[in-house]
Amino acid sequence: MRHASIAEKTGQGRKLLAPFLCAGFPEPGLTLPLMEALAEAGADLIEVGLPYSDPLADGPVLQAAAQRALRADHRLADTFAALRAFTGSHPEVPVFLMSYANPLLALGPERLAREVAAAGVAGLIVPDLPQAAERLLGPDLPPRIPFATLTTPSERLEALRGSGAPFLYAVSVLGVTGARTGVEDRTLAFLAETRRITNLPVLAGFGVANPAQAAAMAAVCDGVIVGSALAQALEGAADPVAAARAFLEPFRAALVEAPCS
Amino acid sequence: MPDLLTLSEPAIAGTFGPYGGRFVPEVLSRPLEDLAVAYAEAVADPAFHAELGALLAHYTGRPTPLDLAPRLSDRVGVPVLLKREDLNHTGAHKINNTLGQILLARRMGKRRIIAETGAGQHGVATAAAAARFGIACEIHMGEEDMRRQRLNVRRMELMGARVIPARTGSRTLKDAVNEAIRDWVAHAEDTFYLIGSVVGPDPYPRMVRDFQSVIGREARAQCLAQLGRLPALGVACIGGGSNAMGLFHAFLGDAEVDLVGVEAAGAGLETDRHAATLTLGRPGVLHGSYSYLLQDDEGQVMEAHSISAGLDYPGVGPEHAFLKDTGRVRYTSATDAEALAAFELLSRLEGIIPAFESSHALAQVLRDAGRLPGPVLVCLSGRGDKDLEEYLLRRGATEERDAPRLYC
Repeated sequence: MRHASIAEKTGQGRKLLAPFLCAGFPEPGLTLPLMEALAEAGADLIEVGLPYSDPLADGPVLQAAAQRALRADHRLADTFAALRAFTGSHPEVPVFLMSYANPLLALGPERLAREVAAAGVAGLIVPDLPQAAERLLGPDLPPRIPFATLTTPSERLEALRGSGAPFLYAVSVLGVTGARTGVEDRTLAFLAETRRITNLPVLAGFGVANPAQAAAMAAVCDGVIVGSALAQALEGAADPVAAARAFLEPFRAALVEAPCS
Repeated sequence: MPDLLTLSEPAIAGTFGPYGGRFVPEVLSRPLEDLAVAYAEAVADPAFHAELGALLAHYTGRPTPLDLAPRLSDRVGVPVLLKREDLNHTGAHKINNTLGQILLARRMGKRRIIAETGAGQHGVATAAAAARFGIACEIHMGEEDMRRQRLNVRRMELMGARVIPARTGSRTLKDAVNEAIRDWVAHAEDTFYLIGSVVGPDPYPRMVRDFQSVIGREARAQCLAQLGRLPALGVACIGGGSNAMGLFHAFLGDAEVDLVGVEAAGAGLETDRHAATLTLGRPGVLHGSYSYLLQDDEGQVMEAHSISAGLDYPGVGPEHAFLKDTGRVRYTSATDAEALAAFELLSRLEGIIPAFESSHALAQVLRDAGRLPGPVLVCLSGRGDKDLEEYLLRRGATEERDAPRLYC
């Protein structure tokens, strides 16, 4: 099945909303209904994270989410089953799989390629796999999403120009994931500059906490990824599916109103 | 594992065969590159070597003695030489590396030092070096290890360091490393991460090895001077593997010297409570490098277990992984019970209380007593004062069950 491409969406001037969902959180059975709720609430794409024991780039909220999923015995097969079901019925909302390197390496190249293809994954987001070691994952995989941070040298950004990556993941703070208040000026300058140099759709992640902040960031790039704040909204919610919808809708509204750059 | 040799291509810095590398979030690639460059410049600078040499001599007390242990030798059947790293300032080999890295931190203009610690020895050595250089210091330590090593926590605090409890996972060394890396991710601009073992992303494994290789260089020269020959066997314990790499490095080219690394078998290799990474693990990525790793079939990192907080680690330095695969070093393990027995025995026979970590190396030698070629060189990586409390706790519990003593 063909996914709607990110470039097609941004080409129409739309600011993209990309929720991050830790698979298996807050309960193993909820991954698919949560994805459906996020799509209904206006998600343009969804980033689904494989829970991992040692998530180096994550702050306390997403660490706790992953630990909770693992303790509830959420397994790899459960994540792939949810992805398969979702992508089969929602071709308009591409799904990107986020995983630390080790669970992917443990699968081995053949099984990884097979599972990822069957699940309809549009791209892989692997925060701790350097480009030089990318081959370890094996052939026949969907594209890797490149990262840029405030300290990424501009030569590296230039090398991404024309790379054809579906989008670039711009890490908007120096630090781990987790909601922050406010947006620093240097973050806005970094997002605009990254977009200018790479000519890729740029989505800002890490530290996106509320709709106003999301709109401010999206004004200078192509959209935002919001993860920890969503996990906080799901944590302890009586009805997590309703909570997901209620959480995301204001972000959608804020992005629709965001000025086009 | 399939086709991992691609990693050994020279385009990737800091690999040992397929192992090592830099498996870190993008935000750390710049700080690691800066560190690698600063390290290369320091290595080429005679003033750096002179200052480190003076610190090792006057602050740490190097060279440490190579001590022929007479009664232990009688017991084992061949001469046993102890490389007395326990006599270093702060009580373990850790200070060798700490001083090297703190000089580097100063060269790089960093204003804050962070480190992880398991048994507390690296934390204490880091706190001491930071005090000596007047640099702010924060140590990440697993909450469980803070309980096991209360005195070391107090020592660090006395020297002006702040100890930050790691409350995730098993609350031991692995989690302390995670927290230290997260701290570094957020503060790399002004903070130097002083890693305590031959683990982590490049350049740490080779840099820490270089700073620790003074152990083997001294021991090799001392062996030749005192015995007129090289040892037949060199033995060291392995958690991350820094004292072992430090001892082994000088002997890697001496084919006649067998080298054995001893991991912690905890409650036993047949249980799931051990830290025998090279013996029972599979290659994977942990803490920024590719090496052997205790992991489940879905790639989740498993918790390690050992009586020794310094060996209680599910990963191992990538160079050890390489030395295992090439066969140059043999890797074995010793259980908690064997280590405790060796801890008691060395105390009785020689009046030396060894660290629980070093007791694992001794346990291996005692297990093979009567069957070993001599002379045997053992890295006595640290002193055991820090372990007395835990020892009394364990021994009390064992004596209640009336267990026989193994060696006395």
